[in-house]
Amino acid sequence: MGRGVGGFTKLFKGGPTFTQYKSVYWSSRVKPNYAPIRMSNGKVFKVHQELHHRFIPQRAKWAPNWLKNNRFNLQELNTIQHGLSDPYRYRFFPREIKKMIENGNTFGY
Amino acid sequence: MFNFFKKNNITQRSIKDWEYNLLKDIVNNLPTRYSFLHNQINNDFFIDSIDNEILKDNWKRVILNQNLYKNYQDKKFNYVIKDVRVFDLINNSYTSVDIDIFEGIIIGYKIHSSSNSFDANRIDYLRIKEVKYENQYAELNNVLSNYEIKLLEKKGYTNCYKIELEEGEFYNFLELENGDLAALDKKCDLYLLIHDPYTITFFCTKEEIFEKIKYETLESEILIRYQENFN
Repeated sequence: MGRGVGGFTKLFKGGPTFTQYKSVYWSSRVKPNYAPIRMSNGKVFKVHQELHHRFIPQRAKWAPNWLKNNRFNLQELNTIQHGLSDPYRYRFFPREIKKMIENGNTFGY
Repeated sequence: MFNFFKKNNITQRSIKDWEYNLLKDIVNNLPTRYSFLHNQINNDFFIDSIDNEILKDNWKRVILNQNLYKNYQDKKFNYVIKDVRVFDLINNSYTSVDIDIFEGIIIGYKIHSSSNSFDANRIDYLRIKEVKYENQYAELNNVLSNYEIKLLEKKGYTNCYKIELEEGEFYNFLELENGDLAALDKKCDLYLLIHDPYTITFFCTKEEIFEKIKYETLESEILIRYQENFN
């Protein structure tokens, strides 16, 4: 009976948190190299390698962690690609970067 | 015989050999106050360079080894070293080279000539000048005192690009993981901007920012709060 409840909990709530998953994931991988972008106002937009929840977003409260944080659901993308795939990520881009992307320049990515 | 199937690791670089060597000669011989730059142009860290699509006008941006970035990073330095002069063998005159420094790292450069032949023995540093990216907090000048701006600059919080959201305007303060940020609003209060689940969460007031900077706990507290979002 106890095991049944434990299994039920694991099925619906178990799995690594995103923080735990990222930590393990990046500990065994080498991140690719990108060039920071100096913008015309002197600020710099850095390009990193990021993890994107491609099928089930982190915000899906109904989904257990194991379903969200796994190698099929998480996709490695660089900052520009991440913004192109995820409108929520895109919102945090500065205007000049957005303008370049809207004009079809994705900085070679 | 199976070498044929081995992955070819030789990749074509955009930067030309003469360009790489010229930069290396220029940087390695910069005056001693720039000694933190002296060893940055090496094959492990300085991977390649490509056009800066925004600045154009011959400006290049540098592809850096992200795994070594922190070894060279020093957030205090954010400026352009202008007017290093190098002798152009084709035009038979000196031409200028500018070096763009961000967080103590060479992230870009510009050679003011289309020539590809320079005399590395004739590099002139007499006219060089540092051009700082002035007034990084221009849009927050009415809420930040000069002392506060200087303190933020000293601590390396200078890359405050603007982010326009439906909730208002924010200014990048600290990049977190995975595209999330800590950012200031127009009152200089600090918020966590998380893209998934999309949330704008108040973190602390302007006064508390400076208090936490004073006790050197700001970044660790931001990171702890940030990670709590995903637990």
